[in-house]
Amino acid sequence: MSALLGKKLGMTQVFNEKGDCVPVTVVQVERCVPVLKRTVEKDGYDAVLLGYGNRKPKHTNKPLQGFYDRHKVEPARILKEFRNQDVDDDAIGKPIKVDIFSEGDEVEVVGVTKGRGFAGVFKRYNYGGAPASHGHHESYRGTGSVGMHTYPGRVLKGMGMPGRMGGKTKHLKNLKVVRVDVENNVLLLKGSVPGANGGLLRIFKS
Amino acid sequence: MNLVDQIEAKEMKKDVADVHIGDTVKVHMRIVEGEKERIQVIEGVVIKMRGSGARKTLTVRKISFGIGVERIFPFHSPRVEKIEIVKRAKIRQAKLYYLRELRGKAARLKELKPVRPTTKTKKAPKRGKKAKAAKAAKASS
Repeated sequence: MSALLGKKLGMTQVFNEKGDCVPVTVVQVERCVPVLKRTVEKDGYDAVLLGYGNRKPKHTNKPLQGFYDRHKVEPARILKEFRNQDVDDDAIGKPIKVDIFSEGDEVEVVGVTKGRGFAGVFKRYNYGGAPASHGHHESYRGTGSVGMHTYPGRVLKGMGMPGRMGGKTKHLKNLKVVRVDVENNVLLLKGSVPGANGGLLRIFKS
Repeated sequence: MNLVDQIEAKEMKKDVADVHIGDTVKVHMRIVEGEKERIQVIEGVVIKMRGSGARKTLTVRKISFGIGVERIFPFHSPRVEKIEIVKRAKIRQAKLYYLRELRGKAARLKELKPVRPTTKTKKAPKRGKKAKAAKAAKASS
């Protein structure tokens, strides 16, 4: 088992043993429990279903309560499946601690990026726009040319244009674990991770 | 205190000098050259401080061989061995960028003497009810 769900708390910096400043994201792991295991024989693929947080009884409807009762786990707020993971049968229902990772490990992080709404090409694709002076008028932040003429006579696929930005699942690989704090169940990951503070993250070993 | 602040608090040094903008300081830097480790002292004026908690930094400006040199130190870095305050100056700005344009005599700061008290201690009242009560307590003990 080398996967867990966590909450992004924010960023700060710490000093490593050399004395260098390392930018880190603080990830807190609250209640994170394996709920059930899927196997190739039974389900056609290997996976572990993890539950995160606590769900109040008034928010747990009867079918859901039945599901949790069947697996003898307290209801969780969120359920996420992790493929190609294995878990011991007696570990099901017991909270996962951050010590499944150790310092220096490389992990993958999946989160949902901050939503930017309908964004222009400046923000969305880092286009440069047009000069502010030398006779330019009206279009300063525009896309510019989107293609050629009669040939090909269409706009090529992948052309950057304004539209909805952010709010999408982003998968980061090879993030270093800088520190593991078992006492607070907190991980420090080097660099930034997707999403706003308080957002849910899926973390697993590369 | 939230968890991020707690983590920062652990990174911070406990006994640090009470540095202000405009102070002339000696920063003792630990420098590792290959195997050897030595301490280099950089003396100059603090022209800028920014950040809070473990992310606090200070910018020290000195004139080295006629050329102005500025160096930014993370306040709580383990590489900064110690910060010594040489003198304090009276300043009216929070950032002393104007020193960059000035040379020689013009770049001096008005010295503040004596060194600013770092913590305010309340004087015991000489008259009134509280003073009498204190006196009585002292006499009885």
